[in-house]
Amino acid sequence: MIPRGREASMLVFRALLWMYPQPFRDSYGKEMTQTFRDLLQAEEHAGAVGYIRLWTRTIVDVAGSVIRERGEVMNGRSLLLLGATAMGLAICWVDSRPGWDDTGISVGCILLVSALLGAVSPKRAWQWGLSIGIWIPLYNLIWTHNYGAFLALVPAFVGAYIGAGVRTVVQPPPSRV
Amino acid sequence: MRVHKPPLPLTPAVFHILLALVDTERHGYGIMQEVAVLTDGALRLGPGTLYGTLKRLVAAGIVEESEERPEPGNDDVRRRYYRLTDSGHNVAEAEARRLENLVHIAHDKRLLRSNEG
Repeated sequence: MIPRGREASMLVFRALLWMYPQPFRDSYGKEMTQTFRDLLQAEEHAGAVGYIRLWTRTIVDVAGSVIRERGEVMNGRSLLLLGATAMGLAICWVDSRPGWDDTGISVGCILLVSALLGAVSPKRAWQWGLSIGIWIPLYNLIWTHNYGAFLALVPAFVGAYIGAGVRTVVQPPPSRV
Repeated sequence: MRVHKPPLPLTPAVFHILLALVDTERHGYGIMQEVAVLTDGALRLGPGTLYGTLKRLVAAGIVEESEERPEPGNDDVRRRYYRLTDSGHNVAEAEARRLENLVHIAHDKRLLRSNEG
């Protein structure tokens, strides 16, 4: 009979595999599952301590290797999207500090960052607007139920499309793209 | 086919995987066990690190999948075995020589003392 701990661990490990890029999962997912099963069987004799030891190592291993594998398949646009999201979260974090009451600076930052990214990649202007501007409304919706914060999306989209417009005028995109 | 060799020095994970494969082909869990034995348990590879590294080593032509199975009758046929290529042997040997030189330098500088006397 298969121990319940092993069954649950295998379920969680299979779920974690979804964090890897699909080509990597297709090539090595089954082997990784088999190997993890072997590791589990080897640690089972130690009971709960064995499970904790294995899972501690596995979580560190999965976190590191997912970043590495994802980094390998990421193209420039994905990195930009990640950067835009990070910038949006950073602006939201500053804006949500109790001592921060300068909404103008927050709006200016959103506008500027969105415009820059819109200029870098005009075809994805809506993505920049969303990835930068969505965090302040979400934060306010969850914590203060302030629907008015959705107005933060306006400078984000305005900035992104201004940047995209300027870029398109200054340097029209090649016809094949 | 153009083969990209990893630059020396190799990372500890890569060198230990190559060392584990120097004498025989092994499957993933076998490599993990061998590395743990070689390092007295100090280096324990997880599945993500192991297969990510194997993927890069296979792409670089240093490791290849093996059809041969050391114990054909006593094995799970679904397992994939890996072995070093000739190029992989050269890379592992070059790294071992680099480390050997470092040990010589450590001896010369009296960081390490010889067991003799």
